[in-house]
Amino acid sequence: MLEIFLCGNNYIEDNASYFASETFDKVFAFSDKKLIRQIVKEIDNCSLDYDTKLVSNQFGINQHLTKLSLGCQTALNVLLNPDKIFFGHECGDTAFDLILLLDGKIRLNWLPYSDNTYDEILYRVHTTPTDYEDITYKEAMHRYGTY
Amino acid sequence: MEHIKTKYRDLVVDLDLSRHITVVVGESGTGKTLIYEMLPKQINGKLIHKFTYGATLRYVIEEIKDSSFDLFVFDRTELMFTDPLAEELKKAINSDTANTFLLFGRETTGLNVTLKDIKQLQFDNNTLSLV
Repeated sequence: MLEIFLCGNNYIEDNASYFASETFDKVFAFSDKKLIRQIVKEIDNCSLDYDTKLVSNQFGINQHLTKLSLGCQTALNVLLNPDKIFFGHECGDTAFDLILLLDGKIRLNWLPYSDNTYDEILYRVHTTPTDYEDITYKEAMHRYGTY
Repeated sequence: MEHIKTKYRDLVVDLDLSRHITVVVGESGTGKTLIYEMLPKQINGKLIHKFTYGATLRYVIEEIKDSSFDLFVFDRTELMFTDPLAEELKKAINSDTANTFLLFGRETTGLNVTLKDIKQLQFDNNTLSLV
């Protein structure tokens, strides 16, 4: 279940720094390589080479994994560090829609609009340090508004 | 600074900067940070000042006030604009008439921009341009 925090300061603000220092090695240690490749492909349209640890992007440039977009780094941070809360606003629509399908935790100041409104997926929306409710994203957008 | 055309490896970057402020929004992985990183420190004798999340906004504001006819480029504005001095920075950008501003990020609150100032990146024929 993805937990969405609309309050609190106990979150990781800088996804890029955390990705470089903590998540990078976890990417290559994670057993589901297919999922990692799918995330990188879907968000950044890149191919990940596990041998060279480089990504080749749509511009024909091979780059270090830390050059993935912030949206992609945020998604991988959320996936590979499920006990940490990550700032969730440096994401485009595709990245955010994908994060909504992961288990993990994100901190949002408002709810980005999403067409991704699966009725069967519930999100734990934390509105105060002690209060939360398990609702669909569609319901969350309705109750708490979107930007 | 009205127009930048430069090259990074085989990739051509062609940016129309005729607006006072240009905000580049759009999907992840479209090249926003790539462009930010590959822009040189000057083009055609004009200085390019680059700032990303973590920059000391007090110094950035001073630099804007001390500069003329330069290009200021900001990346990761979603985070940069959470800084306590963000409103002062936006005020400096809005009131400045001497420089050109290029902002990468989806946060436009408080900036004097219209829809014409908000662009996305297009990749076509090995060229990244603003649309």
